[in-house]
Amino acid sequence: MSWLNKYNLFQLKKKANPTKEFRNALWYKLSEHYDSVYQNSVPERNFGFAVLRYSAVALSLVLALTMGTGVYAYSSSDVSSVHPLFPVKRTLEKVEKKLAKTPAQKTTFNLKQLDRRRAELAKLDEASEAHTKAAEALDEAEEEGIKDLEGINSPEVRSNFIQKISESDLQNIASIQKNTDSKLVNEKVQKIKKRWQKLSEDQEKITETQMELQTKLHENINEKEVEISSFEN
Amino acid sequence: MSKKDFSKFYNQHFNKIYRFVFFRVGAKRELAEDLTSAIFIKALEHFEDFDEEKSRSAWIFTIAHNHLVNYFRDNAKKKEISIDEMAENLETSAEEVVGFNRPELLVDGLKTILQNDTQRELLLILSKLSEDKQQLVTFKYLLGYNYAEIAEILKMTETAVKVATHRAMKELKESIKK
Repeated sequence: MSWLNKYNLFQLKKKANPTKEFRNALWYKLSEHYDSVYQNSVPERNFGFAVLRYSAVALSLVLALTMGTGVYAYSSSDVSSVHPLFPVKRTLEKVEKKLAKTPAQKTTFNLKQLDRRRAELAKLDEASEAHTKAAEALDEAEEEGIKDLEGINSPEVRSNFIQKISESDLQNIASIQKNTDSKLVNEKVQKIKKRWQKLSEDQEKITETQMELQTKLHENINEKEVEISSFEN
Repeated sequence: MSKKDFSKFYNQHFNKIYRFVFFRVGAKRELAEDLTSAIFIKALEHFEDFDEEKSRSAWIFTIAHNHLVNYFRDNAKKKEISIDEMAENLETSAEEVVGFNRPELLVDGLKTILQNDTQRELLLILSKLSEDKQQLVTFKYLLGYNYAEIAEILKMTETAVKVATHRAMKELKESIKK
């Protein structure tokens, strides 16, 4: 029967509905991004500007009221990986990362993300399951950051990130020393070793590229000097 | 265009685009969220360039369609699966092939999420209709577009869409009877 088919299709459609949290979280980030993209494209007329300013204030109020959950999830360190609002937090973070266009902006985001995971971890009892999960989430964030760091040339960006990772690994080593499970200790040590090996290989690649560029630059300068001196002669 | 315009646009199209993506990626919610975010970010960044004379439904749908085609193309490269292999997998693993060439044909993606026998049967029959008919039923009943929007997306007249959708539903009903 036609109505039954329509009903079954409707049920399927319902299964594919997005969650309210995702809808609100994405709008929250898009709204922020809208301001950064179109801030300077406000109409020149004063009236239009006033209206836009008014609507921006109204919108922030509406957002503050309707986005309470998302904002809380995003900003609170109480929302760790076992918290029901953690997926909302992750959605907001993912959107924020998508908005970061340059590798440097991505690393800035990754640093913020590491700080968040650390703050979440710090609030939990070390013996709890939530702590283990939060530690895994921190580990994932670190790996994500290391992956994004690949190929970044800026020494400042690199050193900021590496500084964070080394602080984290110092803590990891301290906690490993307390552990009595030799298999687990070995796994963790191997992981840290592998991570630093990758970071140093990346650094070597970058240094090599920089050296090559420097050599090319020197060669060009020498060629130009020869050209100039032959011209003068 | 103001933020209010964009908010209206977002509210009008978010659910439909999300469902479209969700079905295409074999009902993987996290991936669907990821791709939908990227589609709306793209839309926001080009919102100023949007031609008011054109249909917004068709515009965002084109962005989504192209984004998915790119996603599946890049993913296929990563997995090193050839088109032939994908075609072979069509019957067995819909997740591997969904949207490779025609993201608007949603039925393959749907197969992966079906628990309910009646719905599964309905979709199997739907997948046997011609591509055009599948598309019309999908747009209307699974994604939630109205006739006017479907007409804009498919570049048809509204009356033609209504008639064709009605015929597709009739064919679906008759196939179920058999």
